[in-house]
Amino acid sequence: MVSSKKAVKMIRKIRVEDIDEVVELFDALGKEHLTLYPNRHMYKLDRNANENWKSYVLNDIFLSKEKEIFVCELNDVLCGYVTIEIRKRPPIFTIKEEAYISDLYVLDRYRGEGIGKKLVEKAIQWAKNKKVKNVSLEVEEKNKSVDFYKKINFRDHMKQMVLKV
Amino acid sequence: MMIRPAKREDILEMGKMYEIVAEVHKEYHPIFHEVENCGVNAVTTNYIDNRNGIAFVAEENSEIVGFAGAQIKLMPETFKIKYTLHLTDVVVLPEYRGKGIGLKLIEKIKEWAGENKIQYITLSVSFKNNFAVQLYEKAGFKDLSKDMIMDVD
Repeated sequence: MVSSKKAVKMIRKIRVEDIDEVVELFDALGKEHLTLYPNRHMYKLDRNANENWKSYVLNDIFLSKEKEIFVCELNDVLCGYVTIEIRKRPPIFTIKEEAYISDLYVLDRYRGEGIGKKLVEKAIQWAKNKKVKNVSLEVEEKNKSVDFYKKINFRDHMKQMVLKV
Repeated sequence: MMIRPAKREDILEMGKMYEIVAEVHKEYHPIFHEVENCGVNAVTTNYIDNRNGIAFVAEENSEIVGFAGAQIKLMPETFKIKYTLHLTDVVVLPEYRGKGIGLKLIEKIKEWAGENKIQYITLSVSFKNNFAVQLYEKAGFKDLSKDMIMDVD
């Protein structure tokens, strides 16, 4: 416990040298989803999910001002990340864009310390600077994180449904 | 009653119907507020001019009484499934509701998905729109997940 008090915790933007460590977090997130929802076929990951995501981060997120990843660094270890992006909405809407959080992950052994909250707060701050009025995200109805999101002021918006053809 | 693919000549009638629904959606959240009189523009860009869009209309006595529209949606490359068909509109004129027209329209969309080798039809519906949720459940849709939202000031 003493050592954890001395721990240096920092939420910051992703850097190129973080990439492989962040891909490991992405991989852990996917594996955790798979254990939680083994029958969720629509969201089954591609065989090359890690490589595809890595190239998406390098070629897309790093080159865009409309997409960002924040990581939590704790004693030289990356223990969590959040991805956020600005999404354009169809021109028929009066609100033209919104921010969307696609991934939020904190390694199991670092949970309960408020890291997830700090990551989301950082992402929301980034969204505010982009002048958007809403931040949204998609989550499984039964995922424990629903309570977490409610606590930090997210509320139910749309139900996502699926029909197997 | 006949169900057939939508044509460019249908956009005025479809546009009017689209605006009926837009009025209802408005009450749910500001994010649904649409530009005024956007109906014709919306159905044209979503279904008529869009190569990834498809719409069917329900016709009764040569009058359009409902339509359903869907658009192919690409999935992020990290997923095994590369695209889904996203059902974006199901509208039936109030006086023609309760006759199963909505279900027939959805069935047609499903057939189209099957012919085009699309495995999943997805949709988003407001939690406040019980009427629509019930229709989709009747059509066989199952819960997938939910979107949550936060207003930033």
